Amino acid sequence: MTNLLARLYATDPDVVVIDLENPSRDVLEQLFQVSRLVKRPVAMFVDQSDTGMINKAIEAGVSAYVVDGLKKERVKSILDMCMARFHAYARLQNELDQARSALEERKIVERAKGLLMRHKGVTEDEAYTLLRRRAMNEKKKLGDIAQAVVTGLEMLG
Amino acid sequence: MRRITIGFIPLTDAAPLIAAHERGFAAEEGLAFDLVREVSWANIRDKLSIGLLDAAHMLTPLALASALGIGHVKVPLIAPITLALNGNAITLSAAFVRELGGLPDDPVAALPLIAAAIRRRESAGLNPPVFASTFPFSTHNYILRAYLAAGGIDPDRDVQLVVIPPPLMAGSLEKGLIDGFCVGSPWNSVAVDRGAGHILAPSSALFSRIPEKTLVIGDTLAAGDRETLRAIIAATAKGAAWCADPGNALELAAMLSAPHYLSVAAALVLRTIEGRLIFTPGGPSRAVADFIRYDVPGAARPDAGRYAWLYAQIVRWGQTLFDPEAPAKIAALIRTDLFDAAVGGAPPAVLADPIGSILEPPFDPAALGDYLARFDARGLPKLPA
Repeated sequence: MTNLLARLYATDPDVVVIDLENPSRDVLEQLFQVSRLVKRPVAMFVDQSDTGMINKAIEAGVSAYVVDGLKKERVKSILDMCMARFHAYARLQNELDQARSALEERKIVERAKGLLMRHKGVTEDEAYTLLRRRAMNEKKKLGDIAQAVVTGLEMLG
Repeated sequence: MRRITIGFIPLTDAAPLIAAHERGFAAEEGLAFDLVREVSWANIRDKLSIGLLDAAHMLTPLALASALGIGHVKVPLIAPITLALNGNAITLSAAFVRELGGLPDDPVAALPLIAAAIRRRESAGLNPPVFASTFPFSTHNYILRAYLAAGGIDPDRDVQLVVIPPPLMAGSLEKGLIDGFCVGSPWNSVAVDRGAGHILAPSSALFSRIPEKTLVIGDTLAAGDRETLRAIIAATAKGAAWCADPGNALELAAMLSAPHYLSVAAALVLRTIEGRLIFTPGGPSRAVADFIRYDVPGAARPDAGRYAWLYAQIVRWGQTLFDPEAPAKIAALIRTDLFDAAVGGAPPAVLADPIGSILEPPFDPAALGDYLARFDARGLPKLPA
């Protein structure tokens, strides 16, 4: 039980199928916390259900929810579907995260430009050029330079 | 009769729910408690989340983490009545006790021995000691960590912490897979009776008042009619008050020992209810003050200060970042208005230090920031400057 983590790393599984009646589920919960294996699809097989339950399961991050479905010949196709859906979801999540951070970066660059215009008496284009040149020279992201400018100039008042 | 499906894990602190069912307190309130034994806390959480369970016996820190969306998606639930305070112990394997050269009566005096054993193993190129708790969000994890940290032992570096379900603890100790564990009753006593372990400290010797398990109610019922909610809390409170009466201990022990509940010998369960623990295999029993508390309202009414301490542990050990909104979220989770409406009577006096620990200075729930500032990034107490 204690070398489960090592085994999970060694096999690097596509999907982890956990029997709900196996007490080792809590062992896996801890492993998911300490390692990055947490991003794995979850399939749930149950023997009874209603619509509310399925909706809740999906909200809870379950990729496949199968009612009365634990038949040998169906398991592989269900797991394939589960992984495909999980990856599609993970991609969307990733795109959303990227879009959010791009938006954040744009906001901070705008603020840095405004501060530079006020403190150095330059135009908006010149302020942007200053930021970009510094970012290129220091091989840093534009957002990081803008953040440093904002922090520094705001401290100066 | 309204049927309420309630999940539980086989532990002495599920007693208020079991007594409410067996002694007819649920029926008095117009309810039928359908008690379902589960094998893992993750199952309890997920089955509650998707509505397979209406309510459940749950680790208080797990209820807190689930309601706040820490470590997992947010699970809408409320925790309107605490099932027990304390009831845990830290147990070491017989082999590890030999490695330490015996166990002192004072658990704090054992810390330098454990630290020395860690150093010996390190210089011999051996693996560090392995200690088990029951879940990442559990009092057992936090008690074990706070204890080790008080001795300057980094729980994330100097030892290996693993999770093992309570009924498998004694067996894992016996097989030498782990060197020690922190778990609830009756599983420490099971390890002692099997000759596999020595109790190092009952948790009540380290912390006086930690909320151990809570009844949690899922969102469907919580948003439903107030009468059903009142009835569930009232029936559970009656069960808890019955369990707290020492005159019922014998009957309670027999009840809990049944195969569909704990499936553990009644005589052993009785010791954990009465707080008469045998610390070493074949040794005498010793009375432990407040080993497990079911009293109403003192133990049963959820206490925001005790929850604040649990929240501080979640932050201390890096499971989440501090959220200034946490106290408001705790109030929404514990809903003391529901307890007061269902149980009535005067609320218990508010204690200056809700936790009471020999390992830490008094805990002030209003100064969470100051409490957390006492620990470094690893969660270890900062050395005085």
